[in-house]
Amino acid sequence: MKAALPTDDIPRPTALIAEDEPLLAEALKAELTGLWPELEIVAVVGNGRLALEASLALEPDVAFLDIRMPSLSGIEVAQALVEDWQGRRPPPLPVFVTAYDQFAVDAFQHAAIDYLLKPVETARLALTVTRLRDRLAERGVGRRLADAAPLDELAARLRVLLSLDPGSAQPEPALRIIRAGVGETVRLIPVDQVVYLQAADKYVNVVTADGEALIRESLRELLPRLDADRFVQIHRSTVVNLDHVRAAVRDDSGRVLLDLNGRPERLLVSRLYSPLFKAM
Amino acid sequence: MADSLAPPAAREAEPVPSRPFGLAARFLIVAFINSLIAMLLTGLGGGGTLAANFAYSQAIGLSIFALMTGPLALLPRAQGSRRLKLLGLCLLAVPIGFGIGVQLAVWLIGDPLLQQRGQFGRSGLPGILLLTFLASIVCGSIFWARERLTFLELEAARERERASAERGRAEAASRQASEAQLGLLRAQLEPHMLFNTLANLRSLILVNPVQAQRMMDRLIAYLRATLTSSRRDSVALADEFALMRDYLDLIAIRMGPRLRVELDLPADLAGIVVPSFLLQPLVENAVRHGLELADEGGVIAVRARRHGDSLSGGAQLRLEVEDSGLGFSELARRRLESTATVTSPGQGGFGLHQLRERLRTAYGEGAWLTIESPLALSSEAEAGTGTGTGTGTGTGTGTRIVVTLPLGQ
Repeated sequence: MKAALPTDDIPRPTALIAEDEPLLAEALKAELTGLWPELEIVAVVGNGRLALEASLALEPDVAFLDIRMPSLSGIEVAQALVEDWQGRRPPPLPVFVTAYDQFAVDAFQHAAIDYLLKPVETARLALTVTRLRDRLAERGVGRRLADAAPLDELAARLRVLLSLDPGSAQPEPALRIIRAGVGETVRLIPVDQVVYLQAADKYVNVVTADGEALIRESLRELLPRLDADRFVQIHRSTVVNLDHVRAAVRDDSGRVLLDLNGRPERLLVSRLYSPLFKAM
Repeated sequence: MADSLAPPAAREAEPVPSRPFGLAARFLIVAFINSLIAMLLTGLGGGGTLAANFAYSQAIGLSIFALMTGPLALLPRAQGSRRLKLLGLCLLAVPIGFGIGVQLAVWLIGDPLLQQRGQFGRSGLPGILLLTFLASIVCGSIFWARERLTFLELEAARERERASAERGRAEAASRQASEAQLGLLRAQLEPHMLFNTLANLRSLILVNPVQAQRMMDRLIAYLRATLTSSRRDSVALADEFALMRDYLDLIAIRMGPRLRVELDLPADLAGIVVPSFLLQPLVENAVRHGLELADEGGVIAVRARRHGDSLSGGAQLRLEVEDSGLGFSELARRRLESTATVTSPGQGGFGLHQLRERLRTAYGEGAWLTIESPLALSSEAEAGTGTGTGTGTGTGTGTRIVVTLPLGQ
């Protein structure tokens, strides 16, 4: 009797489900409950932004992430989790869920990230549950103070995943001039002069040595049109022009910061992109 | 090696077109015939030396040649009436040329009329004139025939070219048609849609068998209609709307309360025949790029309207697909982002481009497609950067696509 019931000292594993189709979210929850009774579903959310917020707040052990979701894709949620994770516990183990996606399936296998295909077969879900249990046991569900290892490991896997992204199908013509509306005038900013680009809500802030301008574009739209040898992503909301980077500095807590030419501020390089700035 | 690189058509032997005689060649031919005549006259014993006959013959023949060369070039090469015209030309040119030629010969070899008269001999002036006339006709005919041969050969070559271009166009059109059909079928049975629908169906079977059955019925109706219309070029508007009803019912089960649907087909337009799959790509785009990825979902409206005056023959059918979703720039953004989730290459750009091609094939300039997006800009976006940066992007919402078709009488 005593052994059958979970006691308060042994915390139950927790999970989050992010799925925009309500029936599918409910079904996944029901099946998980059947296959893994002690798992506690702490949140069921319908879009990527809520998935990120809930994950950061609730720090679940596992996150089931639909790939195609409003506001942020499942992959973007995982990326943001690695960048924003402040928790004392390891980040959630992601399991991506997709309806049909040959590229992603190949990429997940390559990056050793677990994934499920919709409709989710019970036997396949059972396999995932077994794997998750094993990995959580390795980590020790016993809530030790986290070291950085699980976070670095997740970052490494996501890096593999992102490096396999085929990019847009058609290469787009390179942008030479950025046109930024400032009041009634349109400023023409040569791309060479751009020190960095910072996504700010629905805009991108274009920063040069002598000023800033907001444009109504997204970083995702701009990036493929910039010279990939010079403009590199260093965070999900920052793209920097390497020509204007003076040095990369590691601070006490191990974060990588960039010193810039012509700008006083330092730019933070996220864990996902920091290997770019290792010494040769 | 280099030979194998050449396209097969280039290696086929092209017939070398005959070239018309140049001016020098014609001059030599005329001079030659003149010489023959001179020898003939001398041989017949009409009097006069060979040299004198030669001089007269050349002077007369070349004068006529000079007179006829210009007008001969103007003779129409394609028409049958040219024989008469050639005859008329000779009738006119021969007497004048003859007169000039005689004067020229007299001036050249300086002789007197007596000798000239003797030269004409037994055959007399009419005989000589007739001979001259016949010789002119023969020369004119030879030149003209040669020119006409060239003309006909060129014409035939042009005709071959036209025919092969025509064949190429026909092949391209048929290829475009089958590609369009394949693309449409692929879009209809788009894997995301299909597998997500099946996943929902699977989840419903246990918890709500009755709803599961209803969803299954919609899916069956949709698949059946899809396969049927894929074999047809055109379909009644009512059938196209019914297909969209089945499709949107399926999407509505998946999206739950996030999707609202408005379908509006006036009864008097229900029977109008339109190209099949006209609405499908538009509705699918609206769902896939506009609404599915919008946090709050939204409304999709599909409407048919009659526009203009049917009495003046200018009546038009307007088909509108409007959604309150992400709007076009956001759409482009999502498309770029979702390269990780886009299924088959080329699928993203398929819908609108193909639809435009099909409209052009079916109606020429009589049909067109317009895109309005975003329909509204959020006020915050307006305040942020002021008026147009010219980049055409925004944080606006909503898309309206209108297809306008001519309505027959």
